[in-house]
Amino acid sequence: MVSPIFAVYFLVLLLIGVPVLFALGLAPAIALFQADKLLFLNVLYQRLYTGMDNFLLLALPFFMLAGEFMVNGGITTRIITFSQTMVRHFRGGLGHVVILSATMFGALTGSSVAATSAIGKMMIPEMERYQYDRTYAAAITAAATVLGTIIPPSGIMLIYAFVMNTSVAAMFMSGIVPGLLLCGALMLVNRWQIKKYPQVQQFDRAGPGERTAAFKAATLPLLTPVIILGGIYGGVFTPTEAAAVAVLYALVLSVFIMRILKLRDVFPMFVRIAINAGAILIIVAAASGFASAVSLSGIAKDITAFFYSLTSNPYLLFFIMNIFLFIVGMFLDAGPAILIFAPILAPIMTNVGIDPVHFGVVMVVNLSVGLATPPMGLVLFVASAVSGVPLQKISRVIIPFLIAEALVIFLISFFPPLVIGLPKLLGMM
Amino acid sequence: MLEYIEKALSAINSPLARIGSWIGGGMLVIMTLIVLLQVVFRYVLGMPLGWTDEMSRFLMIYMAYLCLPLIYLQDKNIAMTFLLEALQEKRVRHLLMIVIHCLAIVAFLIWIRFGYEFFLRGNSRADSLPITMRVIYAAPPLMMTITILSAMQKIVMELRLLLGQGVREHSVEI
Repeated sequence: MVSPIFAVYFLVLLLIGVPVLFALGLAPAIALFQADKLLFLNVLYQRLYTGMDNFLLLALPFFMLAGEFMVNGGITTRIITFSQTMVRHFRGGLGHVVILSATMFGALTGSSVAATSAIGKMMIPEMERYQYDRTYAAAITAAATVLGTIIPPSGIMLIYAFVMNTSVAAMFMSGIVPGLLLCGALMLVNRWQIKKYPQVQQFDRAGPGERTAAFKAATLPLLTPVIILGGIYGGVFTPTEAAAVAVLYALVLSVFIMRILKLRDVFPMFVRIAINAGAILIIVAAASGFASAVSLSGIAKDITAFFYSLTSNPYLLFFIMNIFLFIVGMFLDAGPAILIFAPILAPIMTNVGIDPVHFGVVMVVNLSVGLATPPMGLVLFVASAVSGVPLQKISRVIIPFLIAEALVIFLISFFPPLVIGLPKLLGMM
Repeated sequence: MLEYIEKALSAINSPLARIGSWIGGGMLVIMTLIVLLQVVFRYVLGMPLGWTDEMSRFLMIYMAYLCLPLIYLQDKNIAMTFLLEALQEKRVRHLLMIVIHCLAIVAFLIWIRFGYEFFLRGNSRADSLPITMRVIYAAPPLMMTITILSAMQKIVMELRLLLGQGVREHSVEI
């Protein structure tokens, strides 16, 4: 038996700034050393290899790669132009454009950070040009681009599916309605908040000709999620194969059809994604070893007993879990948070009758919103860097948007059909 | 003296990290092609290939570990940095960074020790490829050994900052 004290070591190591990878390796090692059970380190070590040796995980670098080609291949302009023709005439039009663009971007890249950078670089100066407050522009960009990891395909949904052995296709389909709900909620907040900025300029409604032209220009990039989801759902491809096909499609689109990306720029992107994906994959492997230590320590049982001592009511449990995950998301990135907490928390919820896919999507949405919450939200940092507005100022203005997102999290927690209704309808669950 | 050591370590680490990441990028290209080949052979030609699954997995493992030195040098390891940010501009931050890098080296040493044992046990052959598993098991301990040099370079850099000796920028480009 490993002493559950290693969980405390893990937290201390994380809090002093030790990277997640080393905290995952060191904490169980210290506990095993204390318990004089160093031989078990063999098993932990093997996970550094076996924890990564999975065909499904290949989808992670592939989705990242497809997103990289898309972002650098000129889709941002097309998506934003299309969004402008659809929603610019409403009150706070450019705010709506950011939200709609972020929603569509989510379906193309699966990365919130890439979306914040790409949309922010174009839209924040544009909004300022039409008398929007720069801080407001940065805040709405950060709040909206969390949709990147919620609207499928999503890297962190893939990680959850891998860790919890759930269907990737069902996870992806389950993310669609919550993503659209968040999009709607953010638009409502924008409509309400924009009253504080009466100086912003209004736009005319786009004519049918302008809309059709913008739609035509955006059609090819927007086919990417159709290929991915259609391919997986139709049983044509496995998720990994669909991701590889998406890479090929994004490459052909960016280099040969839209001709924005130069062929000589392609290999450096492969290298960049190899590095970024490598950093995540090694953590996935280390987390697999950590999960073995968790199961051997019995700490999961203690945590389960703790939660059940509070309540066994599924709704109340969901409420408490959401608060817990929201706090975790404020400090920890979504990927590592899922790797560490999903194997502990998901069984607690499934024991009281919550579907693991339902819980997984709520967890993903919650931790994605955490990317935009102070003090450690990665998306906030990027929005601050892109806009030049200090983090503290954005953190204040973003609050109404975060409240709306929190309400959506509770809504999808307590009404499962909003999450798993679509995949059930399609016969995937 | 410290500057000399840092320069020497950088002269070793930068090219190694860069070459590792290039090869990693190359492996990602090959992985993509292999999986696309798998799609074509299975769904178009109706002749599934037996080796594509295993080969692409092995390439992914190598890709991740080959990039490890650059991940370390570019500080791409995910961490909770609020304490470090609170200590910005303070000397104690450099002391903390030295402790963190030392802990990373300890973790690497543990992994390398058990990784080497695992490597020695890898006499079995791969399921579909004409190689022993040792070829694959070698990746983590080998690349971690190289990454220790990156951690040592970071320690020397932080030590120089702690002693107020100024610092050269060490941004390793890919």
